[in-house]
Amino acid sequence: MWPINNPLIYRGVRSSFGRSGFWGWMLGLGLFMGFIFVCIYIDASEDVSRHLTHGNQVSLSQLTGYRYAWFCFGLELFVAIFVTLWIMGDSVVQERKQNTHEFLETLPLHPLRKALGLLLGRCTWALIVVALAGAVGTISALIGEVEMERILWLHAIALSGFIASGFLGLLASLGLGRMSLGGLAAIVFLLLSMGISSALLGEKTVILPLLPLAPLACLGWSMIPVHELPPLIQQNAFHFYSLPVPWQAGPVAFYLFLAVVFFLSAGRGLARPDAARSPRWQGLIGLALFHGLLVGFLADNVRRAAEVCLHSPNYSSLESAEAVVAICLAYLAGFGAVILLWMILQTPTMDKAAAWMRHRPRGPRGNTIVRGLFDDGSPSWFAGLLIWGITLAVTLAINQYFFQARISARVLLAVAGVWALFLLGYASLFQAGVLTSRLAGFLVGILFIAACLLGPSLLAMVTESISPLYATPVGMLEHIEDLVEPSSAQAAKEAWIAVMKNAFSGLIILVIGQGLCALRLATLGYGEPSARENRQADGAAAS
Amino acid sequence: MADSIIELRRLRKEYFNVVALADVDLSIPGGEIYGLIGPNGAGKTTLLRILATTLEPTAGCVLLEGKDLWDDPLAARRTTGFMPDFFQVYRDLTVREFLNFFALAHGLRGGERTRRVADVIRLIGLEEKADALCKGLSRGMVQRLGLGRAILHKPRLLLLDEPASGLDPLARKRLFDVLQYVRSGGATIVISSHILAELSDLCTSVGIMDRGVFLEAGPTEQVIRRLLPRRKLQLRVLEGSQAAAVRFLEQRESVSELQTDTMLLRFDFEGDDETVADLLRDLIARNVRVVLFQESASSLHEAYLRIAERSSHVANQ
Repeated sequence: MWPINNPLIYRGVRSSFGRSGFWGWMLGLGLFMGFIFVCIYIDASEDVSRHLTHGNQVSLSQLTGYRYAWFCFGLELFVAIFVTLWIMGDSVVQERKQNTHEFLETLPLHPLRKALGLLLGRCTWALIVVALAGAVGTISALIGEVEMERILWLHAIALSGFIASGFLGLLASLGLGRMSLGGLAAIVFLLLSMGISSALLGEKTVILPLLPLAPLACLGWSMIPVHELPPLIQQNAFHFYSLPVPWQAGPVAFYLFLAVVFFLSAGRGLARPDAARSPRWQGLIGLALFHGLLVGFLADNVRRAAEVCLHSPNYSSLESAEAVVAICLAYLAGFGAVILLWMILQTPTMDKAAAWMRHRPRGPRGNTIVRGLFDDGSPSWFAGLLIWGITLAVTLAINQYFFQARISARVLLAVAGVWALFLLGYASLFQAGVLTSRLAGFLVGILFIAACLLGPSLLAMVTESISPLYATPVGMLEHIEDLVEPSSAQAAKEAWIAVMKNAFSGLIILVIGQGLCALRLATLGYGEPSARENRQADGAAAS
Repeated sequence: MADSIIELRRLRKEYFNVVALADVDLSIPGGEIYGLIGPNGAGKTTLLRILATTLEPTAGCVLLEGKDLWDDPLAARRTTGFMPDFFQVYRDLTVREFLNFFALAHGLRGGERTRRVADVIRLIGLEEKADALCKGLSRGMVQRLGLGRAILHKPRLLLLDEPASGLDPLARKRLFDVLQYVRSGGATIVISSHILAELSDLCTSVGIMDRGVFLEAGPTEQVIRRLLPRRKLQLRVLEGSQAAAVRFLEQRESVSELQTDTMLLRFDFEGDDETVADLLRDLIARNVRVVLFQESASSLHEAYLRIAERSSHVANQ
């Protein structure tokens, strides 16, 4: 009985349940899912009213259930495949960092049992989220009258994807030794999935496996103006539900095949635990390669998605450039969210954060970014922010010059500016939080997401009738289009309101964060380091 | 050797072009506390890691109870307890959970596991911290927890790499008390340490290593005798007997380096236990009134220095 009495699973369960952090995460997840439900419900009720005025009968519960199921399944697949891969990519690397890999090596367990234990033990939280999202998604889908057979296939894809990506992450962690290279493996894995699915299912279905994997799929979907879409409840709509049943076995079989290969390879890796670790520069090259691939991958998929949109009878009213811009921005928003999650996961200990913040020999800005890239002791979210910015610029540039998808410079600046403001605000709050404790740093991350989602939305609902989802920094992108080519004076006004409101919220978060940070540093007795202190720190670091 | 728990046969370990162990042969009898002594880079940690199956040798083999270690490493891990030099803990588990984790790994189940974990917590003196998170433990407590983890499954071979480094004298004494207790249960202990005085008291056998080879190995007393054939003796006499004692000792060829400090005389003596007994008898026969007659116990340290100097001299040549 492998899973039972596996100490690695015991450890995962023990360190997850019963700790205050666990309930904080669960509460955050519940709030997030509840918030999305409210947004979808409000949108659906508006659509139902619109359809009623056109004489169409659409059930509100059916429409809400159908759309919410899409979100839940998106979340399920996102966590099962992406988050699992990130967690497992860090598994052995983390043990090495903490000098506890000796335990793994000396446990009298079969290597395959260790691999299984690591997967189930480290991904306990991910599994809980997958189970929760899957269960809620199933109920919603049944209310939305999706056939049970399709739901089960979707769960099969999620489960097989979870196992495959988990063992792939473990393998990357063992062999490559760096979490960033785990990310590189992720994209190769995804591209493989795309290639195989394409070969199995035909050219036009190439993006089908991608859609459920898209980060925050419902937000991506919301980028296409709702009033331009046909009722999503129709059959032959553009998403994975429409895939003919026998062909759904393709991705499942593919993932299961990969799962077995990665499982056996990870077992071999664990049987030889003294594998050499990759040096830092290899990690950075891997990271750059990963983002290079990601840019190409995104650009290509955006183009393909636009093509599929245009060839679908349901999207005949969309123009190519609009579709590209909408999907491209949705991906960027999703990628920004992933980077944010990564930052939260990288929260350092208080000592490290305090030491890092005090040591600024060559000015705060340049140095923090450089240190973020190269210093093991500094939080890596600066690197993440920098890379996110570069990826954003390169992706849009590729679309602009190679695919002739015109994206206004004003849109780019507004998007990048507001996102940067929010991320800087987060950074400040994060600094203040982590100076108190590591848990506080995590909580700041959660509160930040809540603030991003709830703050502007609540403001929007109180002040005027903008859909709450569109008032978030992600939803704001929809309105930004109206900055360039406003369909009406009212639309242009709403777009400016949305941008200004988000910028204002970001600024408030930034000011509060900086204030808290300064206060906390003063309480702890930390001031700006003197030149002498910096020289000493440099000397200590060099020695 | 039928009674050897460990036998090394031409064991070799290379890291790229650095030879950490150079065709080592060694046999460690069961039930011993075997001390590994040597400077940094001598190969002690490499040897311990190979014995703990966390490193594979480049060549040669290790026999554990007569079986090749790498034929069945899982079986070897069940027989062996290992405490590495930089011992860390899972910071998000409590002390009890941490030990339960390893108890599960070693196949202890249900009530047996609960009892064994409680016993070990008591043995290492962490009852008060049993339900505290490991991240709140002091360095000494972490070391004790590491020892607890290593002895949890009652291993027949216990491997300890610098277990006493960084511990205060009281914590060190507790550590060595636990080791004596473990040994009384029949386990063999291989320990590497720089604290030679304590190793001298604790270890029944020692091996002195340098540059991947054993320079000397065997029972502690024999190693010291081989390296330091002259014993360091102390003699204290009553007032009035000092001159007679000095006169007598100066006449003996086996005595050298005689130093006097009022009534206390220190000298080197070359001879076995019998000739030491004869010396004392002769002193008393010459009406020297002896208050104290003893051999200095710090000899392992000097033996180590002697062999280290010799090894360094050979390397320089």
